[in-house]
Amino acid sequence: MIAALAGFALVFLLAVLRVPLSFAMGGVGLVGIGLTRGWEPALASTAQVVYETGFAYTLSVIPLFILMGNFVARAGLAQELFAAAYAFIGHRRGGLAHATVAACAGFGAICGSSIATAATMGKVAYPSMKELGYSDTLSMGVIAAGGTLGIMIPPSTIMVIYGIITETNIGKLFAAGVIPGLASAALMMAGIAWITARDPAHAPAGPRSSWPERWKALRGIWGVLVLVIVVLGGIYGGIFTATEGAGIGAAGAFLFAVARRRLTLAQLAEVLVESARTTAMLFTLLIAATLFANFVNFTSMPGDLKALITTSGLSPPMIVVAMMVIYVILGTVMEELTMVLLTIPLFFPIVTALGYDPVWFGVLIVMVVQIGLISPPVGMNMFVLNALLPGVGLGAIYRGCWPFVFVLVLMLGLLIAFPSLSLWLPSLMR
Amino acid sequence: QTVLTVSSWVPPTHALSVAQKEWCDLVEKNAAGKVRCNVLPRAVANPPGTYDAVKNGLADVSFTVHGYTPGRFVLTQMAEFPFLGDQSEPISVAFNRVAMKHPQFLQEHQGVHVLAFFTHGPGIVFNTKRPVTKLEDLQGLKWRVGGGMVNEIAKALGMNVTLKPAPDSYELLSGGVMDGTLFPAESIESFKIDKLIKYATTFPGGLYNTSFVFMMNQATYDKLDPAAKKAVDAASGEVAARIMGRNWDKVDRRAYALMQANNVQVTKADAKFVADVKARTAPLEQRWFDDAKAKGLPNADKVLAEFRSEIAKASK
Amino acid sequence: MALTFFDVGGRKLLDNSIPGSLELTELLMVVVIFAALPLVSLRGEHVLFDSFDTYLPPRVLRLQKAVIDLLIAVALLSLAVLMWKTAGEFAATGETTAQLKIPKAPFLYGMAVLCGLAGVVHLRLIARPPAALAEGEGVAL
Ligand code: NA
Ligand code: NA
Repeated sequence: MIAALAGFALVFLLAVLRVPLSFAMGGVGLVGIGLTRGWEPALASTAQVVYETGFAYTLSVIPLFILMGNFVARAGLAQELFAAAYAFIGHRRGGLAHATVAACAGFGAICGSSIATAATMGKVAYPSMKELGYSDTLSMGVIAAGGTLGIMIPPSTIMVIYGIITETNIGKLFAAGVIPGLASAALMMAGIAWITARDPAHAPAGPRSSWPERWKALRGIWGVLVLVIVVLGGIYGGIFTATEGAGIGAAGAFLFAVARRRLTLAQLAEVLVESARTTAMLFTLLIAATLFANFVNFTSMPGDLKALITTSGLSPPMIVVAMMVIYVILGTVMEELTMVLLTIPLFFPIVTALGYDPVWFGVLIVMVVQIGLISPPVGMNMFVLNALLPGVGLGAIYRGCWPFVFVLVLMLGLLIAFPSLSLWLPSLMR
Repeated sequence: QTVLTVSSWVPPTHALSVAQKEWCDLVEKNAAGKVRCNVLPRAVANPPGTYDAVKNGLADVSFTVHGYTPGRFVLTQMAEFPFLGDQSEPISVAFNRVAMKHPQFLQEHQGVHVLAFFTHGPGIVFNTKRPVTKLEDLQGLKWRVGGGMVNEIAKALGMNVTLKPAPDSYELLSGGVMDGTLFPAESIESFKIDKLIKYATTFPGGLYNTSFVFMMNQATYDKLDPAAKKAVDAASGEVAARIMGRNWDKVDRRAYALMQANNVQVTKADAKFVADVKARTAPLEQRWFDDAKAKGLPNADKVLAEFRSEIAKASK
Repeated sequence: MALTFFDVGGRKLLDNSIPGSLELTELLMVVVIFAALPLVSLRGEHVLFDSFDTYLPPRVLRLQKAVIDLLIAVALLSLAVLMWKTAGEFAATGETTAQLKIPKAPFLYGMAVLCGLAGVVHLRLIARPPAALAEGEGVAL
């Protein structure tokens, strides 16, 4: 137990000292295995983890979904989604904000990244909101929060990462995210309605679109529909596996980008290299997390923790609630991927030992990541918008995000209280 | 007291984990408590990496499938040919006897101390679509197979196969990506496909088999004091092969009962079907003789014959 | 490099069951990931905790970054040596992929070289002042 705790403490210390997380976790894991099992096994197993992570077929789902997201972002599919949503509800009070959330949900169904969703919608929706006289606070809050739908609505990179490190079925995780994702979108819209009702100055109404305009806009989203139906329908309809679905999705998104002449050769190269870099960065993290988990496996910690929990007298739901409180607090200041990779080896065995479904816990993890991404002061969705729209200050973004942090915390509570929200759809897969 | 770090890449309730635990208990008893096993909560490596994990000392004791590291093991493919036997225990005992007798087999396992060679039960053809009663039926469906000789057998039979790890079976079959899979009876339970399977075709002696090795890190073994070494040796070889085989047969029987409960239609391959398979797979034996010769086992044909007669002896 | 990677996606669209497409994907993954590793290092895209950066005097920050870059360089170069040795073992045992029988050793040698290259990148980064994280589309969440 002490050895493992010392390991965790050391990783935290190194991370705070600005050592990249992958090197901190990998280094501590290596030294830990060296001390508990000997140096020769430690070195040999490091080499083994490195090449086996590289050769693992199931992991190829990650670069393919990243590639798909990047192509989709170039193909201009986001504009069409937004235009369609705008045509229908743009004339209502706060309608543009509602339209943004709806477009984010739609875009989330083809893109597995929260940050990419926020960045793409930031480029697409913000100019329209600005033009109509929406407040920066509301616009930023809506786009940052809507962006997080990208990781709850499948496909989702964080679900893939969770699935890989906990050996949970990725297809089931994807299915589990659908209802929570749509429910989050609905709650966000409720939040927008509440904000705009209290202070209408945030969101003036826009001009009404005519019905012919609406139908025209609706026809524009066929590209998104095709991709969603092909990829997710293919995965659940049993035509191909999640990995193959990711490959086909990437190919489809590529074809859209090419067909719309949104892709020059130079841009293509850029997208490919960018996706490869993201993948490499993620893989160093996965390799390091595996090494660290291997070290924890050799210590008495898993057994000791189980004993501690069973004697603590806390009821299982209270333990989960306590974990989620820790996550939400950590999420305000920590980079979310770091948070998840560091805590999963600690929390996951406890949760499964309590008899909870790993898929349910996975959805809770995605939810706390969503919250962390928009909870000030540290959150990538906010930083991305700040970098993308230099005219908008971080302060306005922070103020805009707070209401949506509360919305998502409410959603987290609902997911804990009603596990069937996440587990009903995957239960149909059996 | 010596503590052996033991790893298993299947769940603790799986026959292999149970058998490994039984071996541990036997060693502990033999050594009067001087040797103890510490079974890790999680596997130290994925299945293909387990051989190296034991070789490198990450775990002291574990088991692996030879076919998971293609190209490394040639001689052990002997235990994967069709029609070897109907039960795991006699095949495992015979495999262990023959392989331990010819030093070339151990030479393929440099860096680990082999505790036992063993196999699973007879390989069966499972599918979700229709009864498979002849060669053409095999050729008309899409199959998942693991690596090793079973892949060669499937190719020789003209089957449309994809190599995928066993745990992917549920996803592949439930979604209809694949129509069937080649498994021993036990696996339909441990990989939870028992509710999906509609048809099974059995062959006398099995369509294929899979060779396993149960092993200890060489340095760990060398460092054991004489009493501990004696305790380990007394539990190894044929004793360990029997433990593995017996546990496997037990779950195979349970799986047959499960098939009955789920109304799986079981077909026994008829004489014509068996003869067709034999004719198609015979060249594989010749190819193995050549490969084995290249790996330093000159009289491979005699070794295979010896193996078959040992199985017959052990089956009595 | 990455073009071929996409090729796999494209071919899957046309025919789901190309024999060995799974293995090709695996091998290409190795190539893509390790080839991109030096680029990740070069652009400083490794996930790190930089929230305290604004509170540190620039000189301290610069020293801290130099020390960490040196440590990472040492780690990556050692890893390169380790992978090179492992590649030698693969060459000796002759391990191949299951279906296409492609030897794995050359890929491991490649991993070793590219790890080493990433290490060299960090050596060169020691002299460079810390830049803001390259935030934007490349990030994973
Ligand atoms: Na998504
Ligand atoms: Na945050």
